[in-house]
Amino acid sequence: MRGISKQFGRVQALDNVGLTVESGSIHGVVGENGAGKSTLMKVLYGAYQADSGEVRVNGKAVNIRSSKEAIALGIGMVSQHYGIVPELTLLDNLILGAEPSVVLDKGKIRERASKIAASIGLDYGPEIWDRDASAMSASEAQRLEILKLLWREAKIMILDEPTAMLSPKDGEALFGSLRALTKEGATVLLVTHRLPEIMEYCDRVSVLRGGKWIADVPVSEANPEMLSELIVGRTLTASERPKPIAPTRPVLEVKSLSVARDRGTDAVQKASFELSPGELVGIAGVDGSGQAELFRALLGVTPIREGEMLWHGKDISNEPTEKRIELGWRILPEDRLQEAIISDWSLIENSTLGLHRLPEFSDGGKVRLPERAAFAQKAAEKFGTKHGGLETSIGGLSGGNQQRFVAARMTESGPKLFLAFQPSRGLDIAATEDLYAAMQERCREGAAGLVVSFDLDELMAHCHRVLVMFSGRVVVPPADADRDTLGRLMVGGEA
Amino acid sequence: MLNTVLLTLSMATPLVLAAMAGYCSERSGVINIGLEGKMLIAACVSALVSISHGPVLGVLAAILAAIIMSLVHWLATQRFGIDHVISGMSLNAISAGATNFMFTRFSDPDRSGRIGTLPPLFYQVCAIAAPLALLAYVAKTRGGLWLVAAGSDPEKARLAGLQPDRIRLFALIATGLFSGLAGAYLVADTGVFTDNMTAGRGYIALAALILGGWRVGQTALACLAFGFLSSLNLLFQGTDLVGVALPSEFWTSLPYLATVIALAGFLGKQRTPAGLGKT
Amino acid sequence: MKQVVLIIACVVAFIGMLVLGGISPIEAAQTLFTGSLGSPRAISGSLKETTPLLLAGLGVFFALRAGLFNIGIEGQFLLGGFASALVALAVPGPAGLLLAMIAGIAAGALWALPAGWIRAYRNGHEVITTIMLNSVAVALTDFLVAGPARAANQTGATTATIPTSGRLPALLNSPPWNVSSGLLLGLILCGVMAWWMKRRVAGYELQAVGANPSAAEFAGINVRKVRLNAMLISGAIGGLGGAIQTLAFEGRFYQGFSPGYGFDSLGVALLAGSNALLVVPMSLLFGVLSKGGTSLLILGVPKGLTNLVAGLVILISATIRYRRQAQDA
Repeated sequence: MRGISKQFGRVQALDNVGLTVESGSIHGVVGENGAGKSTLMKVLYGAYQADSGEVRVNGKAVNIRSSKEAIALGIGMVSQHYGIVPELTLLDNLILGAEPSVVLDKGKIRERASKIAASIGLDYGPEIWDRDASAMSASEAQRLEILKLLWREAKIMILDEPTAMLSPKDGEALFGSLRALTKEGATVLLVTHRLPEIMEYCDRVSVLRGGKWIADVPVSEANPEMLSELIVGRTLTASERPKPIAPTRPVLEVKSLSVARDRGTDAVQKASFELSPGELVGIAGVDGSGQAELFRALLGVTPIREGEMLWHGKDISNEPTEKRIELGWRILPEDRLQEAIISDWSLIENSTLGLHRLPEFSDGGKVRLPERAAFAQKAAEKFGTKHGGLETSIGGLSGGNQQRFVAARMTESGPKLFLAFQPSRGLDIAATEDLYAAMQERCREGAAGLVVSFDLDELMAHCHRVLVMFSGRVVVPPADADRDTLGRLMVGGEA
Repeated sequence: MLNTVLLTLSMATPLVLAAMAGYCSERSGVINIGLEGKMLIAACVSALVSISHGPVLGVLAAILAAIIMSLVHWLATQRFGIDHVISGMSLNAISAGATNFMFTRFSDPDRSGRIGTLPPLFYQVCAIAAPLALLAYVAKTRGGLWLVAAGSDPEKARLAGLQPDRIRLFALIATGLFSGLAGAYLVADTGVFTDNMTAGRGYIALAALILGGWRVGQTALACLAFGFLSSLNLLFQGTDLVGVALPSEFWTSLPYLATVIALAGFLGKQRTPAGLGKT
Repeated sequence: MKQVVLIIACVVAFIGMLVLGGISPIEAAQTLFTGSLGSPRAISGSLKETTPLLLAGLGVFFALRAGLFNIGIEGQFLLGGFASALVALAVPGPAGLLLAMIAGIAAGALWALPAGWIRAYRNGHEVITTIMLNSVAVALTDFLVAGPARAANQTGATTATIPTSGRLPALLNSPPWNVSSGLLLGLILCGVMAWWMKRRVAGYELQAVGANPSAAEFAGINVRKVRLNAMLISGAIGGLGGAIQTLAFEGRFYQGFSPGYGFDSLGVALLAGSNALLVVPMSLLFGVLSKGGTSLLILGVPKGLTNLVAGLVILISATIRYRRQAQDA
């Protein structure tokens, strides 16, 4: 791939990126969230069209306009969220979209399927092929995805974060079979944020940052420290980060909290940490490390599997969300449209969503209309939400303006604890600064705050402390941890 | 005894055909509460066309009419994004109104006697063949695999290179075919068209589909069971069965009650296709 | 604006069908008008048709605001009508009247309970359960009124007639005018509902669940409880509608008590959209069509025509709503 560029709206997702992969190798592609890894892979797989640039496969220039064409060229991709249809059997899933004939000879298909499975060391008999796909574990699903690539006779396999939902042991097994495949001439492109995987299993690694190509090194000449530096980059802003405040009696204690996922490993694994009053704590980590699930569990929207949460020493693990809001907990959820607002409703009606039962806005079950309107006015002014009247529907606002409004709803409603997920999403630098200033202000008044961001610099510049989440676990770094240390922790390295 | 068997078969025939129509639609992910309406339109059209152009054209016209209704449902749900239930409900109302209107306006009021139709046996053969054909189709062909995939998870089916919209289009044409046959049978069986002659059979077929867990064999069995219930009801009307005379309304309610209980999850795992109603 | 377009579409569809059926649209329009609005008697008749549509429409509307489609209103209406007839016959006088209304409300809510519970806690589609429960309601009331509850001296399947003292009094009764207080009850309920939706926290929560259940969950709202309650209240209103039909108009319960009010009220609620107050004009529209449609029978226009138009209007209204959303996005 040479000189690939791709723009989404005004965002330059890929800027003149090149990538050369030797056949028969395992090639790692690393970078932070938004570095452009997935976009680049989707260009190769035909899911996106590049604005400019050239793709050559085995030396021949090709023009891949759809996934179908990519498959025809022997390129296959396993996306992070498996493409397995739950109500079909394993065998049906294997051949879906690549059936050999109109009338299916299941016997023959099964024979070939078992042969393919055997080629990566799996002994799949007929009874396994006829199982329901919904009953599969995460690692079985992952294996089936690999088999799907083989069924399609893919020679170039793209794997996007394949181990995200696998236990370390299953991950090892996966790489074992990938190794075996490359020996037979397959080429594997591995997108990951886990440096140990790169170090252990890859031949070469390419680093992307901010849509640009940064480096391309043989793994034999690389080490984790160097890679994490390349990934995160050096920023010049000598940050005047807030001084950590001396821990006092904690307001919130989270003790070995685990949250289950639909399938596979727990989304949050035995998370333990504390928040002191007045503390603004950041949670760094790449997207999908369990931050969203942690927040949902803290608010009580998702049940927890084990562990407990103490608020001022009292266990509130079993209290409903409503009760937690009453205690002064506020959230800025991950998914604005689905979780934070009701698009059809006006700004006024949205201003008290979640706060509507508080005595400020409810007089014995009656909506306090003047107070609500006044609060909406205040929330809109706080971060300068541009709107066409508080009575108009919030769905008509731009994403950034919606974000300003819901952020103000959190900071201006007297929070005792606030949970902000990517608070700066859609905001410009000035608005981001204002928002953090408001959160710090609330903390000076005695509240505690937890902020998730995928941008380490943003957290380091504004938070008293930064925790790291990596594949479901919360890591509490040493007090003197610097940027490099945190960066290493984010990708599964050692402190 | 033989009497009961024959009566059961004849009662079950329209149910099986309509349930297979529902199977095609719902397996592809389109909620179809409009079976009743499609049957009714088909019955009415088959009666009108059989009178004017003979039985063969009558059946074909019935099928065509049901397919057209099906296509409207496809357009409404897949192209205009209308709620599947609202579309199905409206189509039922339109059918009830249109058949009443058409039959009163266009049929000859002085005509009497049976309408000439294909023999009921033709439909009964269809009702036996349809589930067998669908079973084979789903188990053995590419199209069957696509059908189930589109209804289970349209998004992932799209990832695998399928086009759920088009799969649903063909599924709804099949729905039209089967519900057209089901409607035409009602006229063939009785020899007349009467207002609202489906009398809830479309809903019973839906009930059978739910009780059968959206599986062909089980659904057909549920239809047979419902057919058996109705024949018992006819044969033993008013006579004491087990010392107590159960009213006929009890027998007619049984399929519906069973469905509600099934939906409450008291009859084991729910097997609703996961992609039902999704785009 | 949207409503105007719909009414025009409705009229056009109506005329189109008439032309297809070979009837002069002008003559039909005249008959429709005189039959429904042309005289005090006709207007009274239209208002009588409007009343059950208004109440059942409010019931459907309430559930719809919580994101639930209560097709079961027909069954709840029937059960409400039946239960109130039984109670009114057993307890005479005004006390019986009050008890009969309560019985109707309770019967309607009870009939909605399985659907609400299955939707909220078992995730079974309320449309399927209510369709099934409608059929059971018809069978159940048919059986009861033909057997155990049949009046001793009657040949048809009907209860005895409730004495005047046990009925809802007329609001205005100077022939040819005749307007029942049932209509007034419906109007009051409509006003209360509009106020409740706007001014009560519970109304706010109900509509939040209907508009965006996941956001409602983040806002600390118990989505399941709201869904169950919405269905119960919707059924209760449907049951009240049936009770008023018995106590204000019919004076008894019989087989074929509802000529399809349940379905028409779905149209009423869908057309009213998000505003409870719009249920009134929409039920009036359907009431007028229904009354006028009866007069059209004389011209040889089959009664199915109104059904046909109602179905078309609902389909068209749903399409228009979709178009608007597509533009927003």
